[in-house]
Amino acid sequence: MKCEKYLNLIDDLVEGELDEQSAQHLHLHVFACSECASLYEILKQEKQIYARYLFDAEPSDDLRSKFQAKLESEINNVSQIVQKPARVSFWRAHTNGFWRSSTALAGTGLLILFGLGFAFLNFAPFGKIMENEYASIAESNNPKLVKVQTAQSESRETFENLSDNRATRIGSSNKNFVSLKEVKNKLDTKLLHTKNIAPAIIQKAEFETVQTKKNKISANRPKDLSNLAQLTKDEQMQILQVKTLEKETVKQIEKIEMLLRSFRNARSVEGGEAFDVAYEKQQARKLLEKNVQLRRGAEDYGALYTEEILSKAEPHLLDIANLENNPAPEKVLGIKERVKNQNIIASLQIY
Amino acid sequence: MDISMLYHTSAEINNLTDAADDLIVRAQSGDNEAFGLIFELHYRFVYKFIYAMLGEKESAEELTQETFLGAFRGIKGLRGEAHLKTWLCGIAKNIIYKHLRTNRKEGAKGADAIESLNIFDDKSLPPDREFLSKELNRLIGSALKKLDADKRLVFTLKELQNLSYREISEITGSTISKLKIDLHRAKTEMRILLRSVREAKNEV
Repeated sequence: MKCEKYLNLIDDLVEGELDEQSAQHLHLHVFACSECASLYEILKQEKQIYARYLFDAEPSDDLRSKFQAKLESEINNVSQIVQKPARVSFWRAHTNGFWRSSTALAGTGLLILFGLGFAFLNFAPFGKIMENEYASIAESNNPKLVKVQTAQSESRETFENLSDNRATRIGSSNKNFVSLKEVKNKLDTKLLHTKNIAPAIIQKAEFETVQTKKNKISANRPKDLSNLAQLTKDEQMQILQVKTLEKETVKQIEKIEMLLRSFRNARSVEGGEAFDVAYEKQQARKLLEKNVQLRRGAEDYGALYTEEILSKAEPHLLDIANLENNPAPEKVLGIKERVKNQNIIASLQIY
Repeated sequence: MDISMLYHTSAEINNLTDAADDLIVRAQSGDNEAFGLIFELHYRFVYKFIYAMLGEKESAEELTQETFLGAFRGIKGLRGEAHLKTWLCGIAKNIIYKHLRTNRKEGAKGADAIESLNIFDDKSLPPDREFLSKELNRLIGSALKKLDADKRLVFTLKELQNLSYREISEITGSTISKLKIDLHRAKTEMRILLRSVREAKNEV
């Protein structure tokens, strides 16, 4: 038999498992060789006969209704025994709620941060001078913070009278994040220095700048917040804009999440080594454009958390958008690996 | 004009796949209506699969329901990469195997001895057109029962239900080359079985 190398291929051809190019190639041979042609015909007929076997094998009409009844009793059973899904959604709602609103929580967070920072510094191996200075700061700042909190709650009460409740929450939470973040950053650098036992002079110099900044913040904050009730039109506009920005961001994040998911699940093209990521690539480009816009907007309004999450997602989009048309598998796998390692999808979900 | 139409269809295809993903996501978040749609879309395929494996209408319906109940309980664990259809077939497969283990009385083992890789034995080629009838289906059904479960599985999914090797390997977890060998053997056995059934009939 001279056509032995074609035998397996003919099988594959009949099974529809050959790619277009090899199929064409094989067809040429099959047309030319009578033995292979008859084998091909027979195999094809055989397959057709088998394919008809299940044609009329239909389930009876009441299968659907039977199953529905079963499913309903299953659902009732499940909801009686455990309520697991409720727990999950509770958690999600909670995390969402944390980031979206709750000025009081943010205020407490501020306090805790200060408290922790100072507690740590008190234990740090440092000269008495530093300790005293920190202590005095702690004293001078705490009453101010309390003031901030009361001012916040006052302004919130008045604000609830305004028609748009949500705008308040988003606006004020973003503002809180500004202060929170700033203070936290300063404290972090502080702590780092403490750990490294940096020269006391640098400590002191930096410390003073922090102090002035903190004072500035605490001086500005109550004024800002107590004035919220009499907002100018500009400010109201800004809050509205932040609100739409947040909405857009939520949409964007959802889209990115979907994209990364579908990218993670992209499989290689049938038979070949290359990955079919053309669709993902196209989407990534679109999303990237939007992402940059949103991130800039977030920067402008000082919505730090929003900005952070957007800039976190951006490199991945860039990676995907920059792929060639037929990317090498290693590249795709590399990006997949990165997406996986950085747990980006999970953090997007939490947002 | 033509090109724009092409784009249109690809966009529609994307929409469709999005919708399928969406269905899974909705069902995972406890949307029972979405799960109902999943059932609606796939129960025929699953039923036919089980029917081909067992050859009995009643138990096939029973196991179809069991499969979808299992799917309902497990849909939260479904990762996006698993194709919904193959995932369902995977569940069905486990249920079928369990069923076969508990109902082993039928002497379906007799066919195990028949194994041949020589597809060029002209006499073993498939029967011709005179068999295209319900009678033929009955014969195929009885021959199928004589295959052992693994071969019957590959044969069913590939020949009767036209899945690709890749999809089947998602269901069974075995490699494509093993599937090819199994299918080859199954086809050869089927030819022999069908021929012997036909001959026996002719003698009567």
